[in-house]
Amino acid sequence: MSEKITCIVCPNGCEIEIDGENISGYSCKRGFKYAKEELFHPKRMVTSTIKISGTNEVCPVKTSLSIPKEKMFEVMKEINKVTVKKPIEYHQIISKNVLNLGADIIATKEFK
Amino acid sequence: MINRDLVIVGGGSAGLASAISAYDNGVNDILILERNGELGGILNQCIHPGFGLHHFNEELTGPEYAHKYIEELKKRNIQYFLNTQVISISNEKIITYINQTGVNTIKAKAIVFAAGCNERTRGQISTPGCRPKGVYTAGLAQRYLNIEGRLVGKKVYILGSGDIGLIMARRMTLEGAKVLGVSEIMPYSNGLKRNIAQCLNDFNIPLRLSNTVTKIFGRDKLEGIEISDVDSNLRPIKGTEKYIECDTLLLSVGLYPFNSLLKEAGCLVNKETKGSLVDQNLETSIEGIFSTGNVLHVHDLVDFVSEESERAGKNAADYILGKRSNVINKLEVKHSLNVGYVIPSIINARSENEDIIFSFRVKKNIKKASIILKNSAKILYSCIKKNLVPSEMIKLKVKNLELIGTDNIQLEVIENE
Ligand SMILES: Cc1cc2nc3c(=O)[nH]c(=O)nc-3n(C[C@H](O)[C@H](O)[C@H](O)COP(=O)(O)OP(=O)(O)OC[C@H]3O[C@@H](n4cnc5c(N)ncnc54)[C@H](O)[C@@H]3O)c2cc1C
Repeated sequence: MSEKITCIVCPNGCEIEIDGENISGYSCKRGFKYAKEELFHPKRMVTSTIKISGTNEVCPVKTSLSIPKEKMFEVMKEINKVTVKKPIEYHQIISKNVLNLGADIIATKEFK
Repeated sequence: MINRDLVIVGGGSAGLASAISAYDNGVNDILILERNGELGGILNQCIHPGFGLHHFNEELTGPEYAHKYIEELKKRNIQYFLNTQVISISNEKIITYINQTGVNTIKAKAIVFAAGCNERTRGQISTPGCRPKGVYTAGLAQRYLNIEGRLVGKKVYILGSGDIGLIMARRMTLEGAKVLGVSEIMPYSNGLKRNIAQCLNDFNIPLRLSNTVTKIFGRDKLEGIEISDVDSNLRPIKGTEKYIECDTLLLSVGLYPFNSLLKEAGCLVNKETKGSLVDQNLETSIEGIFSTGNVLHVHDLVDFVSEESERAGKNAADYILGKRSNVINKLEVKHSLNVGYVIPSIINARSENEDIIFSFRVKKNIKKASIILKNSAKILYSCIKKNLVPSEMIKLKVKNLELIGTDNIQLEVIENE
């Protein structure tokens, strides 16, 4: 039985067909890797924001690596628990090794 | 009145890339005027990943993409004013702006206009019903959430499958809201395929094609909506109505260039894009005024905005430094019926052959097509492209295109089966 997935690596959105061990329809190495991962352990990057204490602003953050798709909501819970103080460096680590998944929560913008 | 070589209106990705490129091509006297309190434009609220794969060969979030450009800008001696709004531009290239210091004017040798786009609102798409609180454009809801940390609602429905709506469907779901579905009046989605996959399918959010919102309920606050299927003429089909209870309706029904200042300056408008009419150098009908980014035509990829804007910056520099030779031929660029628009609209040829970049969109999904450029006498260029969709802009780089002996070039997209 074959399955069709849309590659989410880049905006080209290739239609990749997975038929048992056979993967076709990708147009780059990343797409091939994505399809294989999507089949066995789908992963996603999570992006969100964190409150900057003492202000009305929020700081955008991301997971430094993609995390297992089924953990997205748990990671969101962790993100919503923390606040951060200015100044914030670009790519400053906000929480290390979130839920022991091997990924950090890092700031994607600097605030002076 | 102060004189400046180059004034750039807008400090988003288009303005930043054109400033850097103009500087690197020899113009040192550059001023960027930005209405917001920071540089980066729309990128600041696009906190999701998906930027820079073409340009930096890595996947960045919007703020990260902006950061890279702002760092480059700071390495150069390029001046910018924040919290500064341009209120008029004249055909003499006199710019009037307003900020804390009051109302000021500058005379520029050249202008790059990079003011971005606006969201279509309900008025422009006419949803019948009352006008209660709880109806937002998707981009405004995105701004509230990602810049101000405020979630606009808990039970959300989305009208229109544009990318901003799809991105917001995922974002609000992750923040604990329930997104009940997305209705798209067309039989195909307007968003990128990857966004349907990772923003809707990942969370089992239904996408209803050929469906629209036909009624809005609630007096002060939104209480619910009615959706209906539509026929091939986009008219609601009786008997298909369905009531959905929700407190928020997001409109993701399209963007349009925020081009009014150039229109008022007298730059001719491209009726299909609603942006200015430009030649292959992104120069408008007024010499020395250039336009680029979303204010020229709405882009889905920031990488293409940066690339286009680098060209605009270089061309403005060449104009300021008097590096251009005379125009030897003027050509009109036309297109076949299944093409929505093509940029450039005209070509001011300065030599017999030039490398020309065409940007265009098709009007419907096409599996496989021959793309042909021809003049009245012969075919000048052809190639095959697969999986063309209206939501994805196509960029065609043609080397050494012959530009003499004719007064027009036609772009044709021919469906192959
Ligand atoms: C919600 C959304 C999601 C997107 N997602 C992706 C994605 O996943 N991947 C991707 O590659 N691309 C994406 N894009 C596309 C890409 O990010 C944009 O097309 C690009 O950043 C637009 O750049 P711009 O400089 O033309 O416009 P903008 O970023 O809008 O910049 C225009 C600037 O001009 C300023 N301005 C306007 N008028 C005036 C005035 N009168 N005086 C002074 N300043 C003025 C504005 O304040 C603004 O800062 C997305 C776009 C949007 C809107």
